Formats: sequence, structure tokens, C-alpha cells
Amino acid sequence: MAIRVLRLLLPWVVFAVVLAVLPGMFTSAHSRLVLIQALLYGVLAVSWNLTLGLAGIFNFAQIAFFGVGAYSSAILVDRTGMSPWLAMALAAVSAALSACVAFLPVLRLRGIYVGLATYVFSQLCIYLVLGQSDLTGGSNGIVGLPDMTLGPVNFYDHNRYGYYCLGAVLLFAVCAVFLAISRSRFGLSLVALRNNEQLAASRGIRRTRQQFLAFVIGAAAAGVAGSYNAFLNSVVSTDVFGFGYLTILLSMIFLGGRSSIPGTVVGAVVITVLNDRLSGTGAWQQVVTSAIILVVLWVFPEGLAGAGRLLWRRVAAMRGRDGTGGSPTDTTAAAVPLEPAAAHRPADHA
Amino acid sequence: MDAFAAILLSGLVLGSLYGLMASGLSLMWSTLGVFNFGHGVLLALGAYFAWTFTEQLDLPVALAAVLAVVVLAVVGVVYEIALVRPFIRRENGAMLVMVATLAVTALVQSVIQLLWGPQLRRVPQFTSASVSLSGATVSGNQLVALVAAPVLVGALFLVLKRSPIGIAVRALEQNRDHARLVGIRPAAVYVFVVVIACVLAAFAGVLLAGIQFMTPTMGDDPLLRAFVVLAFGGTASLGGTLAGAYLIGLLEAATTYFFGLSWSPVLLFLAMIVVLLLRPEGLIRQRTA
Amino acid sequence: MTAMLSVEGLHAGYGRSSVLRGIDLHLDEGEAIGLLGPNGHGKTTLLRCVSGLHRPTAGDIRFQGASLLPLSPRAVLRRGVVQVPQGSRLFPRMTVADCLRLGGAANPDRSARRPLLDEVFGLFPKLQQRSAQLAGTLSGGERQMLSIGIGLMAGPRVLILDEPTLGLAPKVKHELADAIRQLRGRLEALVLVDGDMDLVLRATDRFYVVESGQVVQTGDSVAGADSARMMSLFLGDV
Repeated sequence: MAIRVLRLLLPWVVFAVVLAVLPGMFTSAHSRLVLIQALLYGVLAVSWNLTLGLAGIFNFAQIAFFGVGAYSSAILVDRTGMSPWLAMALAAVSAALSACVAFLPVLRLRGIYVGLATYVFSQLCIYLVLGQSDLTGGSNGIVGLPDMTLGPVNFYDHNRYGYYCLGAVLLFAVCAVFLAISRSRFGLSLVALRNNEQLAASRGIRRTRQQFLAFVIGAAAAGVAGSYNAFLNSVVSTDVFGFGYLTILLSMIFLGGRSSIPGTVVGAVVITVLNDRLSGTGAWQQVVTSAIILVVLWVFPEGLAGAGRLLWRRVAAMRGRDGTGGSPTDTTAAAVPLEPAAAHRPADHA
Repeated sequence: MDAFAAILLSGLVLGSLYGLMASGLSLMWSTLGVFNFGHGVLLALGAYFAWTFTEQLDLPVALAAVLAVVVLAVVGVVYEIALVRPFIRRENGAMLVMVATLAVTALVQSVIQLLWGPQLRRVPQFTSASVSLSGATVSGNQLVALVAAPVLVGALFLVLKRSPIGIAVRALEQNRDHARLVGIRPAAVYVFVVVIACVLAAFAGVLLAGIQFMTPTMGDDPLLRAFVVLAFGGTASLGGTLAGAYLIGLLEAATTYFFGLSWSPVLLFLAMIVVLLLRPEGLIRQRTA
Repeated sequence: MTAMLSVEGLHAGYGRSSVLRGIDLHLDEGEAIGLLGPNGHGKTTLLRCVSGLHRPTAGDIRFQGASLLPLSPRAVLRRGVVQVPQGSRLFPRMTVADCLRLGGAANPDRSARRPLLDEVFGLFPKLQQRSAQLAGTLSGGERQMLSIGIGLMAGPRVLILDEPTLGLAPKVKHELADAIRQLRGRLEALVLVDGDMDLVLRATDRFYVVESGQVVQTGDSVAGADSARMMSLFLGDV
């Protein structure tokens, strides 16, 4: 029992230690910023994975929730002089509310239609922001947002050390919440709906209610990330809704492996560093990012997490051990195994 | 200028462009079961090739348009082989195709930026002639768009109804296993469908590039509207899709006139949500012939 | 003498569940065989394997000495091995004429299409009357006729009929049974899968009983027809 608890906790302790040690290793302003960006993308990618990966909902509005969070906190601080902390909390609320709107079509739609509706929704947000230029600054965005502070500490000081810490806490928290959800009855019901909706429904799982919850929780996390991003850069613009974020996040999620937390975090780090290296190359940055998505889809649809699982199984097999355990934070191992669609088909006449 | 005539004209022109986009999307959806999120960038690609043929090679617009359409037909073959075929039969294939087509959109938009540069450009209009109709002036390309959309979609309808490949497309759509038992090769049908969709998108691109300035993202707005059209017109028939396209075009023109440019997309989306909630199969339900 | 069509030790399944566990059977030239057995025991999967719709995990299927396994459904069809699926689905939004055209499209011999169409209309005059009607509006019996007609348009050497009388009224069933017996005289070989044991035993030379993915019994159809043992085999099978 103690060993099981240890096995469960160990990766998290290691994760926390790594997060704590990293800023000591990267002290320059630039490398610190790259690190912070990786944290931000990590939060966003893991929050998206709740719907896209774990629940298998074709949610393509996550960027919109991120943008709504960014804009609502920026507007609140800009207009009312509210504390950024309160604005960040309200950003979660407004993102969750916008998720309620985006979820409306999901009530009656399935599968790829949801992808269509949520994609249209996220594109719409750009028009809304541009149209309400009195409030949002239109295409100029909102500039000059104050930095976050905690007591006497300004988060910008010491090469944004405060922002780093907040980002690390957010990433740790969103990963922990993701794991808790994936292990809970709620998370298992999402996976059951993903794998076989009819079967799950026949066992009394309510699709709309469960998927709605996943949608809103993921959106709230994205809203916080948006708010964080706004204060970090002290500006917001319609870029936050843009295609750039969409491809970057998709490349992280698919490179890492859908519905795997460690995979997604590693994917976020790899892509962030790569993007930083390519930052002077203009359009090449997006060429590389989108090409990575395609190459992963072609060559290794399970992403790094899939490669890791394969390697783990090989190693375990060589050591003559049972190799099905996987890493403790590996949600697909905890989940009901994904049956191939054909297995549900009756063998002969239906 | 008479407001009603202006709304009508602008709505019908928009509807024509959306109709060209949406018929390709609708055909791909009903046959392959995927939405092509790369349709907008295919439109842009068609426009940029047409620009190259007119400006660099000094060809007349009509010939450049034909060449651009041919190039996009070839692109369509590659598109199917690279982005649809590897994923379509996999589990969760619809999502993989969606992600792949989104990724290729970002990829091609950046490549366009790298190859053609950021300058604002236009393709010359098909004809400099313009017609005045009850106070509204119809430019050459608008006229071509008005005529071309129903003609091309009508031609597609006839091809689907009468030609052997058209019958194969419909057969595969209606009963995949039986279609394979009568010797239909799904892969060949898929290539055909994607090529048709590319050709229509390319043509819409050439028309649009004569009406507004070209950018790598010029296809995003028409694509978005085409998606709304699918929600309205359903995907069961080309007639329904075309009717939906005109409806959306007119709705957009009217809402833009009365509520302004920024509210029009919002109202369109609200209308889409309402339609999807009430009738997920599309507002205009009809069976294919 | 080598068989025209032979299935040797065929295994197949979906995912982890195995459906066929070593099927052996053969069909000689000029012969008609019947496949009997309860639903869900592998008959349809066997036919899917023969036509190239499903890849078996082991074993072989040979037609005139050459393996059919590496071939696509289209290539199997063009060799003359033609399967007629159960007609209840069909192509509901296509006209009868288009369906028959579709059937003839893969026929390598273009000049044969016209006489084949006449033959189909001769066998099923109703199809000619309903030529402009959508397949989805046909009655159950007419759909079966159309399904068979589509198969005939491909110019089959072996025709495989999957449940041609499933769910039909007795009168319509008789009509189809007559047509099947007529077909038997015209074709080189015929495979008939049907739940109606009486029909199968009357229309074929030999029969196989497939249960749990294996051939559990085989024999001459005439001898089997009045065997009490045969009847007991199907008690409880509806």
C-alpha cells in the first residue's frame, strides 16, 4: 500500500522539484521568458486535453475561451482599476460563461459537427472583439496593463520570477486537477461516453451534463491562462484568438499524445523551445509548427506518450515484468481501454 | 443607390461565392464524412496561382483562371492522398482529418506568405464591363459570379446524376459495402470528390481576388460562411446547399446594411445556433435525386 | 479435379473476437452449394472474406487455382466471383436503372451489358416496369430482385447469394426461389446462403452447415432434405 502511494506521488514530487529548480538554471531574461511561455502553453494544452483528449469532444473553441479570459480581465482592470487577482478569477467565470454559449450546439450535435460549431464560435469571437472597439480597442487591442503583484513583490522583478512561480503553480494545479478528474467517476464516465456513447447512456450516464461540465471546467482553466497571458505581456490583442495559437497548441497536444499529461507537458516544452529558436524566421515558424502536426499524425499518431508506452513495454518485457502498468500519471492506462470500432460490430448479421 | 437593390445584389454575389465553397464542402462531407477545414486556403491558393499566371506570365484572366483551376485539381489529388487517405479509415478519423486540414491551412498560409510576399494584390476582373440595374452597378466579376455559381453547381448536379463516376459517388455515399461489391474503388471516388471541391474553391478564389485584395487568409471568411451554409442548407442535396448559400448571402448583406459590418457575423452565428438546435439536419431538408 | 472455388482453413475475426475458426469448403464447376447455420455464426463474415471486404487472419481462398486474398473487392468481382448482398439496404436514393448501370460498370466486357440487362429484365420483369423508380421505394421482394439483378450485370461466373429471401412473404419467396432455380441452370456455379433450409436444400447440390465459425456438417442436398437428423439440427434456430 505504501509503495502504491509512493508510486503515485513520486512523479508529482519530481515534477514539483523540477518546476522549483528550473528558474535557478535559466536566469537570463530571455530564457526565463521562454520557460514562462512553456508553462502558459502547458496550462492551456492540458486544459484543452480535458475535452479534446479525455472526453473526446471535438472542442475547437478552447482558444476562444483563452481569448475571452484575456480580454475580460484586461477590460476589467483597464476600466475599473480592479486588482489583477480578482480580474483573473472573473476571467475564469467569463470564460466559463462563454463556454455555456459555445456548448449550446453540442446539445443536439455529435462528433465532427461539434468541431464545426465550436470552430465557428471561436472565429466569431474575433469579429465580436473587433466590432466592440470602444470596449476592446478593436484591432489596437488594450495596452499598458499593470503587472501582477503580491504584497510588495512585483511579478515582473528578477526577470519575471513572480510570473514564473504563478505559472508553475497554475501548471501543477491544472495537471493535478486533470489527473483527479481522469481518476474520478466523472472522468471515467467521460471516457465511457467517448468510447461508446450508446453503451454509456444505457448505463445511466447523462451525456450532455457530463460533457458540459468538462467543457466548462476546461474553459475556466483556459480563461485563467488568458488572464495570466494578458498581465504577463501587459497587452491583449486579437492575436489571442488567432490561428497561431491554435496550431501551436494542436502541435503540442498531438506531439505529446492526446490525453496524456506528461506527453502534453513535454510537447509544450519542445514546441515552445523550437518556436523560440525560429522566432526570427517569420512565416517559417508556422511552417515548422504545422508541419510537425502533420508529421506526427502520419508517422506517430499516438505522439510521444505512445512512443514512451511502447518503450516502457519493451523495457518491461526485457526485464520479464508485466509491462501493462505504464507511468502512474498516464491517464489512458487508468481509463477503459479503447476498443477498436470493429469490436463493437456484431460478427454476423446484426 | 436603391438600398434594396444593393442588398439584393451584394447578397446574391456573396451567396454565389458561398455556394461554390459550400457545394464542395457538402460533397466531401456526404461522401467522406469529414469537414474540410482547409477549404479556405485552397481558395487562396487558387487566387494566388491565377495572379501569377496573369501578372508573371501575362496571360488573359480567363486562361489564367482555367490554369489555376487545373493546378488546384492536381493539388486536390495530393490533398486527398496526404490528408484524407491516411486517416479516414482510422478510429476517430474525422478528428484526425480535421486537425490535419487545420494544420495544412496554417502551413499553406505561411508558404503563400513566403512565396508571394505580403504585398496587397488583385487579379484583374474577367471583364471590365459593368451593368447598371435599378441603381446598383454590377461589376464584371460580380456578374460572372452570379452566372457561374448556378451553372457550375448545376453541372456538378448533372455529373452526379448521370455520369458513371457520379453514380459511383452516390452509391458509395448510400451503401459503402454494396458499392465495393459492385467494384467501386472508394479511394478513386474520394480523389474525384476532393478534386471537384478544390476546383470549385479555386474558381471562387479567382472571382474573389478580382473583387477584393488578396491575402493568405482571404479564404477564412468565405469558409466560415460556407460552414454556416451547411448548417442551414443541410448536406443532403446540392439544391439545398445552394439555396442555403443564397439565404446566408442575403442575410449577411441585409444584416450588414442594417446593423453594421461587425454585428453581421454575430447574428449569422446566432441564426446558425438556433437552426442547429431546432433542426440539426439543416433547415432545408431535401433528398438527392 | 481442382475445385473452381475453395476455402482452406480460413480464420477471421473482428478485433479480439474470432468469428471463423478454420473453414474448409469447395465449389466445383457446374455446382450449386448451400450454406446453412444459425445467424451470427460466421456465414456473412465468410462471404465478406471471399469478396475481399474483410481480411482473414489465416487460411486461403482460391478461385481457379489462384488465391483471391491479395485482391481488392473490385479485382475479385472482375474475375467473376460476384456477391449479391442482402437487398434490404441497397442504394435507396438511386433509380433501379442507375443501380443496374452501376452493376454493369465493372463488367470488363462492355458489349455484354445490353444482353445482360435484357436477361435481368427477362428474369425479373417487375424491374423493367419500375426502372425509373428509386430503389428505396421498392417492396422487399423487388429489392432482392434488384440486388440479384445488380450482381448479374457484372457477368458472374460464380454468384453468391446472401439471404435472398430474408423477411419475405411466402408468395414472394416462391417467386424468388423459382428465379434462383432458373439462375442455377444458366450460371457456372452458385453459392446460396439462406435461413430457409427447405429452399437451400431444393436449389443446391450440396450443403455445408456452419456453426461457431466451423463447418460442422456437410452432405448432398437431396439426401439431406428428408433427414430427420438435419431437422433436429435446426430446432431452436429461427
